[in-house]
Amino acid sequence: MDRTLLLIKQNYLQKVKAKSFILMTLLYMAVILVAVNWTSIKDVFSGDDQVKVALVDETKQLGATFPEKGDVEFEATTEDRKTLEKKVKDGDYDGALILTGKDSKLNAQFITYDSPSLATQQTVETHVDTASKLYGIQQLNLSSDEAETLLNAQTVIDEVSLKKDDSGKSSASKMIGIGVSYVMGFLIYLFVITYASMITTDIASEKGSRVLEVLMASIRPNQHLMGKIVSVFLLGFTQIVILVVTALVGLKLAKADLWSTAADMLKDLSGAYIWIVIGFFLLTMLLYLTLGALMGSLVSKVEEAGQATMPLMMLMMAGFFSLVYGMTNPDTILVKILSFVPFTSGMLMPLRYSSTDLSLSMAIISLAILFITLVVVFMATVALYRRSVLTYSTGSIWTKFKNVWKFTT
Amino acid sequence: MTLALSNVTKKYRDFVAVDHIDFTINRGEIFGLIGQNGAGKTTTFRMILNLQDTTEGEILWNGESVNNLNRDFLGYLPEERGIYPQMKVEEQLYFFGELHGKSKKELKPRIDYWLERFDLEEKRKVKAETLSKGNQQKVQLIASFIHEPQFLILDEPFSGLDPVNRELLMSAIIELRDKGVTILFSSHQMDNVEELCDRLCILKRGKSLFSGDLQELKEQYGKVNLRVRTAMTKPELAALDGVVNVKQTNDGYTLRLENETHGPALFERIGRGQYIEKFSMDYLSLDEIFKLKVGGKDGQNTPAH
Repeated sequence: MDRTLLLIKQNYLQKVKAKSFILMTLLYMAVILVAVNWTSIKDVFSGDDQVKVALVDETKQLGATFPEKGDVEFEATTEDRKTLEKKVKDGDYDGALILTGKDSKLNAQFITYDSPSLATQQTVETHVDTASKLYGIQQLNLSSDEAETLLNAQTVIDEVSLKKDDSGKSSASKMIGIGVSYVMGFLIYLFVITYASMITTDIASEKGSRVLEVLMASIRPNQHLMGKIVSVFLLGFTQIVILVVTALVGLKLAKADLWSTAADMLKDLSGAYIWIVIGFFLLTMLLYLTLGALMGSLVSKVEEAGQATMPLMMLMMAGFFSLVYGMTNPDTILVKILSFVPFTSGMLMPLRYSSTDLSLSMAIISLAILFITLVVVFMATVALYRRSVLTYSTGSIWTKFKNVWKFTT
Repeated sequence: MTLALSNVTKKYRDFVAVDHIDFTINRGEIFGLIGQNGAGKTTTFRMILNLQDTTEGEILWNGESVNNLNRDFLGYLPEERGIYPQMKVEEQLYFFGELHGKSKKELKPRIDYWLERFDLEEKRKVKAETLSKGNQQKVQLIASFIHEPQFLILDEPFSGLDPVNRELLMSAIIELRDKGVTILFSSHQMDNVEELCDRLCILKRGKSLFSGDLQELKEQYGKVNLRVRTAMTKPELAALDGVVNVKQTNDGYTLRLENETHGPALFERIGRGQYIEKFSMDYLSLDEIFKLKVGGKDGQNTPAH
């Protein structure tokens, strides 16, 4: 068997069978299944948490606005205030809402004993808000048709752009794009952090235990480097496949009709976007794995691996926080610049492509920059790896770097 | 089948690690490379292994540069032990064997043989990290030659071993040599070198102080070590002709002579025609020669012949 292949096989099998990998994958699978079945799970836990509110409608017109069923149940009653207060205190009701009309305005009073949850407060507020508008309209003595028209008045903006190559993305597809980009950005962040530090630790421990020296007697340093990158990449790929399958099966089996929702969402995304996301994901992953391998080859023992991955983590974090920031402001200069910087573009360019009217060519340019950087970093790593892998020195990463240079040229 | 180093030099930016060394090792020979820490042994090994380039000079195996050779012909045991702590002993041996281009089928009988020979049969399925240091070292040694190399490099193979395991390792090395394997090894313990090697090279700060036959080296100094048991006192002995210095031991004295020609006269003076229990003239041990060579300035302290 080819030696690189043998190395890949050995490393991959060793890692895929490791308890830590299995546990991590199971954990992610559990998270996905919980997310997919969230509505059903929520029901199980919140079934007993029905909030019952007494509704005293002195205007006698608004009872229909308050639903009798739901998370907050409104029960119309005519009892006087004292009795109500007692019932609220005794826990018969979680609260009492008293609506009174005065000078064409609706006044509302919400009486509680235990402080209500934020969700309850918000539900009550929403309903009171609607009721208040309705009450206002009713005071204008409009016909019911007129009232209806007024209440339902909403304008759909028809966007017309004069630029020829405008992407013509609707705001809905932009919103979905932002959502998907966030999820992808988070996945890139998660995978890169996990696997870049894995490859660093792996090489550092081989170096620390001097296995590397034995390996180097039979294989070339670049074979070793390739073996590590490919096997860890395959490991990450395995995990992604497992998680995607879990998500698909979960969506298909979930009670709520999430499958069609997901399919609808996917339809809103352009084919180019999906390829761009995949491209960025793969290249960013390879770039960081290569850098992780380089860092691992610089340190002398596994204890130093954490220190070595720090710069990579910083870069990833910069990208991720810019992504979070960019979700609301995808057009800021910072996001624009970072979407072309190869270390962060994987997280920011998909966001910009999906949420702004950026042309496809820009995304491809950024992808090309990333690709070229990957090639350069890989070549540099191959050249340096040969020297660093057998050099043991102490001090900061920078000192190690200098030592490798000094002692091998 | 020989390994030949000619004029091999390794220079880094500001120092010379290996300075123009020459030696050849013949087929089926055990050759020792000795020197203090930092003398350039590991660098020499790495150049032979083609892990580092030579700045000058050539390293040839059977007349061909090692840079162009498939490295399966050699095996390497590094100074600091390297095995996968999480891997089982057997798995480990298969992996290293396969990495050198052997098939599982070819490896099986050899692994069986050596595990039994080294008394590791029941450790087969055990993770390497749970083994004792001595056992780890044995596993490592097997891993270095499981692919039947023609040439084996052993960097400090005996360090940290108890006498029983040392003996076991030594007999294994001799067995390999008898099968025609060429062996280059380094050690700090000179008694190991003396016991195993016919020829050797002494390095000091990258320079070769001696390269050649061990017996020749000893003969260069002559039989200048004299051990006696006598009633004479230390000052009396020191005052004798041809005595350089006297060391009292718990069993008499050890005298260092200018040269071995003083022997008969000293025998007369110390024995005075009487029965003498112990009067033994011998070559210096390799340990003593090493200290003389490496301890003094280069090229000095050679015997006055």
